[in-house]
Amino acid sequence: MPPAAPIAPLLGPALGLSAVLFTLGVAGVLLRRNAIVLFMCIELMLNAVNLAFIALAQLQGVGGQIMVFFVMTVAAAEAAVGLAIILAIFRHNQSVDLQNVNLLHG
Amino acid sequence: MNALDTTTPIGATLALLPELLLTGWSLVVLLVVAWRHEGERDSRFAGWLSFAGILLSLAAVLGMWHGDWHSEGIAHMVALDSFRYASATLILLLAGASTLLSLRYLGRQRLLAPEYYPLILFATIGMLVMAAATDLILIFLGLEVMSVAVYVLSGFDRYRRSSAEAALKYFLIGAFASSFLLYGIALIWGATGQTNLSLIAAQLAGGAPTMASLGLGLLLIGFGFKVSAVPFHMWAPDVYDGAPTPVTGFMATGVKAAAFVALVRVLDQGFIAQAHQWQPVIGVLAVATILVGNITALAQESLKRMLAYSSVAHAGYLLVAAWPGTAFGSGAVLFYLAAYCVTTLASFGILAAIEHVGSRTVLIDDLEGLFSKRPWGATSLAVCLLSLLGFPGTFGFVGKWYIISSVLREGSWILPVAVAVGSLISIGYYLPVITAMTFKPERTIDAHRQVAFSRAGKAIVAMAVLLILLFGVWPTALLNSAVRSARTLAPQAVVTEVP
Amino acid sequence: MTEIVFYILAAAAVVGAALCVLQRSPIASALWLMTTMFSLACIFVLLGAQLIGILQVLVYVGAVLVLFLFVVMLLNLSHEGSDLRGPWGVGAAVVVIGLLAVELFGLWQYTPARLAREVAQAPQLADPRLAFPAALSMHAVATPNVVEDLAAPLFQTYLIPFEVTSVLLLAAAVGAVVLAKRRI
Repeated sequence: MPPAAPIAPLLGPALGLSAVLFTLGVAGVLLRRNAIVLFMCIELMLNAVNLAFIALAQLQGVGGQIMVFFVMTVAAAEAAVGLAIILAIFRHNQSVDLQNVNLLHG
Repeated sequence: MNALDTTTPIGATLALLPELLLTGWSLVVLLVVAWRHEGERDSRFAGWLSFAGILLSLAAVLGMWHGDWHSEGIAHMVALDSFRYASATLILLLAGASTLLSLRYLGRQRLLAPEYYPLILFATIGMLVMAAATDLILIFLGLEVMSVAVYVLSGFDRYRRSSAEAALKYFLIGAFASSFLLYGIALIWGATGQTNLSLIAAQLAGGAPTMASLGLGLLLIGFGFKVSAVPFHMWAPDVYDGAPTPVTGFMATGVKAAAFVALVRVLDQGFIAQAHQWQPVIGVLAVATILVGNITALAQESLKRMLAYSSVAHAGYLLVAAWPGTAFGSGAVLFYLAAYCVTTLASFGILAAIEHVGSRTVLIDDLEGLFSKRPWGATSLAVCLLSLLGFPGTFGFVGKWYIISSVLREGSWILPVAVAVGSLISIGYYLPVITAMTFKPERTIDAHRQVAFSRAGKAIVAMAVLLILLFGVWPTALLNSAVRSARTLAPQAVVTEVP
Repeated sequence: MTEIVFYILAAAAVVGAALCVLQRSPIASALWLMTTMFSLACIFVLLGAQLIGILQVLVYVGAVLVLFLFVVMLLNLSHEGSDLRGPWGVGAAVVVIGLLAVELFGLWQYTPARLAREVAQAPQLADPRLAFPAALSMHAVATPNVVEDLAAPLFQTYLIPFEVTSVLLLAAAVGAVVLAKRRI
C-alpha cells in the first residue's frame, strides 16, 4: 500500500457545502414568488447536486463527473423550456409574480 | 439468440428497439409536419401518422415479449424482462388512445400547432425509457424527457391563460422535484458507487449506510411529487384543470403509470433489503393520499377538478399496492394501473367531447339530463365512474380487491382499511354525477347540442368500456400475467468480488 | 493551503447563494448566482474535476445564466416590489427548511474513512484506499489528458444515457419553439 497523502480530505466540507447550497435553494423556492427567481433557485439546487457528485467522485471514481455532464444537459434543456413558459405567462399576465397565478386554488 | 448482452452496441441497440423505432418515427413526423401544417386535415394526418408509429413500437415490444428476450448477466442500463414489456405495452396503448382522442379536439378548440403529435411521441419515449431503465441515471433522464415534453403540452393552449399557468406550475414543481430526485441519486451513488439497481442491491444487502438511507429518502420525495402523493400533490388539480383535456388524460394516466413503474422497480430491485426503511414512509404517504384526495374531491364542482382529485386518491391506492414489495404487490400495481388508466383515459375522452368550444370547465351540474340526449355517452361515463369507485363487476373493483388481498398477505390491516374507507368516501362524489346525468332533466333545450364524439373517440371509449366490463368479470388471465411480470423484478444475482 | 482556498471559495459560494435568494431585483439575484457558480467552478477544479470546472463556466455561466439575464431584461422586470410570501408561507418554509437542514447537515460529518467504514461494513476494509479502488487510480496517475478519462466511460458505459440526452435536447428545442412563438 503506498503511503500516499490522505485521499479526499475535503469530502466532508464539500458535502456540507452542497447541503447548505441545496437548503438555500429550497428556501428560495419556498420564500419567493417571482417565477424567474424561483427558477434561479432551482438552478442553485442543481448546482448543489453537482457539487455533491464531484465531491463523491474523489472516492467513487469518474462516474460522478459523467453524471454532472447529464445534469448540465438537463439544466440547459429545462432552462430553454422554462424560460419559454415564463415568456408565455408574461404575455398573459404582464408579470411573473406567482401571486397573479392563483397557485392555491384549492 | 434471445439472450442479449446489453453492454455491447448491438445488444444495446436491440434492447432499445421500441424506443429507437419511436424516436426515428417521431423525427419523420416532425419533418412531415414541417412540410404540411396548414389546417385541420394536416393535423389529423399527423395524428394518424403518430398513431402508426406507436403501433410499430408496440409491435416491437410485443415481439420482444413473445420471443422472451432477456439479458445475459445483469441488465446494464436497460431491463429486458416481462415487467418492462408489460408496462411498455400499457404506456404505448395509452399514448395511442390519447393520440386518437386528440384528433377531433384539436380541430374543435383550434389548437392546430403542428408540434402537438411529435411532443406526444417524445413524452412517450421518455415514459418507455423510464419503464425500461435499470439505472438511476437513465430513470432520471427518461423522466426529464417525459417531463419536458409534458410541460410544453400542458401549456399548449397558449391563448388561454389557465393553460399557461398550468404549464408554469407544472414546470416549477417538476423541476423542484427533479432536484430532490437527483440529490437522492447523488447520495445513493456516493454510498454505493453504483447506479445500476441490481448492483446497488448487492452493495446494500447487508444494510444501508446513513448516506444511502438519506438518498433513498430524497428519492422518495422526488417520486412523491411525480406521482402526486399527498403532501406533494398541490400542483395536480390546477395543472390537470388548466391543461387541454386530452393532455390531461395523457398526464393523469401515462405520466402516473411511468412514474409508478419506475418507483416499483427502484424499490423492488434496488432497495428490497431496505424494505423496513421505506415501507413506513410509503404507508404514511398512501394513507394521507387516500384520505386527503377523496375528502377534497367531495368539495369540487368542476368535473375536471373532481377527476383530478380522484386521480390523486388513486395514487394513494397504488402506493398501497407498492407497499408490500412482493411480486403480488407489484403485480397489483401493474393490474391496478391498467384498471385506473383505462378508466381515467376514457373519462377524460368523454369529458373532451362534452366540453364546449371556448369555455372549458364542465361543471357537474352541466351534465344534467345527458342520459336522455346522449344515452351511450352517459352510460359510458357512468361505467367509468363506477369502475373508479370500485363497484363490483368492474375492472376497478377487481383491482382494489387484489390490492387489499396482496397487502393482507403481508399482515398489514391499516392499509386495507384505508382503501375501504377511501372507496366509501368516494361514493359521495361519483354517485352525484351519475344521478345528475340520469335522473335530472336538462337545464336548457340545447344544453347538450355541442357534444361531439369523433369516430375514433367513440371507438376508444367503447373499447375502454368493454375492457372495464370484461376484466371486471374475467380478470384471471390478466391477473396471472401481471404477477408473472412482477416476478421478473426480483434483484438479479450479482457475483461480488471481495477485494 | 488547499483547504484555505476551499473555505474562501465556499464562503463566496454561500454568500452568493444567500444573496441570490434574498435580493429583491431579479438582475441582482442572477448576478449573485453567477458568483456562486464561479466559486463552484473553482471548487470543482480543486476537487480534481478540471473539465467539469471549465464546463461549469461555459454552460452555466456562459449559457444558462445569460439566458436568464436576457429574459429578465427582455421582460423589464427589475422594478417590482418585495415578492416574499406572506406569514403563512414563511412559517411553512421555515419548518420545511429546518427539517431539511437537520437531515442534510449530517453530511458534514463525513470523512472518507467513515464512508469507507459504512460502505465496507467490515472493520478490515475501513481504509478508504481499500474501499475505493477508483480513488486510488484517480490519484495515483496524473493523466496528461483530463478529457480522455471522461470520454471513454461516457461513450462506453454511459452510451445509452448519452443517447437519451439527445432526445431530451430535441424535445426541449421543439417545446421552446412552440411556447415562444407568437402566432401558431
